[in-house]
Amino acid sequence: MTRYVVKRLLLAVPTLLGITIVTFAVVRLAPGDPAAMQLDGTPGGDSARLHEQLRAYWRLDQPLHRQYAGWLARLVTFDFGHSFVDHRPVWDKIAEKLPWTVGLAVASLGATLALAIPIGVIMAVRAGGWFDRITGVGLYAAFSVPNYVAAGALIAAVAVIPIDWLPISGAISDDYDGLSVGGRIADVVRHALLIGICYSYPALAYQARFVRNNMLETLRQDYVRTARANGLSRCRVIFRHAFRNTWVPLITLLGLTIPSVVSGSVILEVMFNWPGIGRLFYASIAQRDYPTVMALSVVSAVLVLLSTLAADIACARADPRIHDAQ
Amino acid sequence: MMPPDRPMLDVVDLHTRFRTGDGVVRAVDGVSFSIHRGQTLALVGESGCGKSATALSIMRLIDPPGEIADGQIRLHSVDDNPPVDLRTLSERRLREIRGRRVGMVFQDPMTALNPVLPVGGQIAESIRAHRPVDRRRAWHDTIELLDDVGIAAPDRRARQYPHEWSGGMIQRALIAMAVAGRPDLLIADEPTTALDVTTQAQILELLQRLQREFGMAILFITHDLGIVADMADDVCVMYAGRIVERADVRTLFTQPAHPYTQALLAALAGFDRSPTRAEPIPGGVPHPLHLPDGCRFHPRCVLSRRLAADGRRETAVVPRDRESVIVLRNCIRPVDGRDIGGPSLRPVAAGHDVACWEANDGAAIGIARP
Repeated sequence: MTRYVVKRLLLAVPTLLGITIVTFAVVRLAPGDPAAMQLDGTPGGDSARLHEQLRAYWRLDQPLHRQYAGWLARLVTFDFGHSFVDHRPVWDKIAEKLPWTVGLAVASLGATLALAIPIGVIMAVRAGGWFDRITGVGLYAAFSVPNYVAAGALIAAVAVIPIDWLPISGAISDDYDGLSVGGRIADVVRHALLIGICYSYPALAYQARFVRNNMLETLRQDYVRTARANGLSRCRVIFRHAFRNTWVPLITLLGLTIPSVVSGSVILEVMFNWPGIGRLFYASIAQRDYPTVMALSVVSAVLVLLSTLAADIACARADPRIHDAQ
Repeated sequence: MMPPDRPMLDVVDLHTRFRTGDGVVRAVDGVSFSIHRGQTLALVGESGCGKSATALSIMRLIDPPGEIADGQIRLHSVDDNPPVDLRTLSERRLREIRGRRVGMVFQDPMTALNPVLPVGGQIAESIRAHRPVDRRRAWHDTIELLDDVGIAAPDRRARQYPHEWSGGMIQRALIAMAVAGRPDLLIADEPTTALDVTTQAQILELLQRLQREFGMAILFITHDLGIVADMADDVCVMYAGRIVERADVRTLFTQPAHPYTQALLAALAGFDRSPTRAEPIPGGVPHPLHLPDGCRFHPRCVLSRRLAADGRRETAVVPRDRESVIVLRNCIRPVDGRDIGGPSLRPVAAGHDVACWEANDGAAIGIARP
């Protein structure tokens, strides 16, 4: 197992390099000049000398491959550089946004799973029954409404009929610092409610259907019949035998979902003014803040690689046949 | 202890059907038999004749769209309590029967155990489902059971997963699991079909030894008449959802009365070392949605064809229900238009029943037996 993990991590290095090269190229090939953008509106900003100085300061006057090499050399020492926009260290900017995105995503994932698993299991056990049919139609409908459409509708509704305790923008109230610990938690939860619902419901719809379909498959298996023939309780047959065998596909699905924990939902964070990574990404691209964009790509690429590796390890733990194959 | 002449299980007029998009499949269509304590009853027939559906019906493991439409499945108790009808029992009480009073072993060992749990853990789980013992005790009993069914190094083996075991070993484990509750009846649904010949013999030996030790009755389902000769006390031959012949094993092999049984025996190549060549049965099992009228076997039946060729079979007089007399045409349907279905079982000798309008006994039909 250790050998397998080491091998996977070593294989991840060229993958990461490839991702950074592509991102670097795409970002630089996009039209727009960060130096001109920064100088726009500043006194004397139309001076060609100032413009050249700024480009030289950011090393934008060097050939692309040297810029990339320099960036890579700093990356190895975990130096992501400074933002073009406010000149703060890029890592600080990411670190202050990350908890908001990760917190929202983890809470959403927990809530989704807590609902999707029982719903999917009950649907499968009573397949064809009224619960299965009604919920199935409901989930399908939910899945087909994009979450930004639902977000727009919710924001519009709350704007028309304001609800005091239900804010539609930001993550904390203005008086947040003066609140007690409980009050702070309640404040964040209130702010997170609408964006959380919009963030979660497509995943809930997808996961519940996923659990249902996998359960239908495992409930048909011979070992479930054996368990029943041996007089095991219904609960044991359903969870220990049928559901236990859906873990591998479920873990694989979650492994593919986790990267969005970091990138967040750009569109929802912008719509709800949520101070997370998604909004930072959006703003950085708009302002041609190359160091921030590159850092965010690296962070999310690393997380994608780590989460797929974690999912593979978890699958091996969940199914001894996969473990032995590795 | 119960006297051996009293039955352990009575299946009476069992009907199991499956609703499909194209119609209702009557997988089990009026099957009756009894199994006595300590005895083995073999249920024989080609694939798709309803053997497994019968076994699953007894365990009440028929799932929708299948259902047990009619009949009784009376399980007698070892003491003098009245029998219970498994067909009408609640799911809760059924769980106390499954694995405890009736155990079951399935056909394909490679898929019969949960692939993600250790073998020993699954046996221990079954033990704990029926006895109030702690984990350690159940594990200890598991090791003992595995040792008893001939698993070498059971301590180490029990911690392994099913994919690390061979088919023969898993079948032993499944048998251990099925007899863990010391059942009165063991249902073995083609337990050796998926195994190679040497392993097959070992598994059969194991079943016979466990039967001697525990005195349990066995319902043995197979398509292999060779195994029947080794294992069974009594035999029921099934065809297209019905029992067509019922006799003790000796009678069945020496005086088979139903043309289907005779054909099965003729298909058994080299049986009792006779020089006769194996004769395959012409045609195939009828489609369950399109069963032939009258006797379901007649399109493949040598006797029916020969009698028709002789011109002797245009009409025949057959006693039914003691008094009514019905005139038949060529094993198909009565001349008077009333459809009486196929032939029902009638005795041709003591303890020997056959469902054929024409058969007298094996000798009278005069089909060369191997």
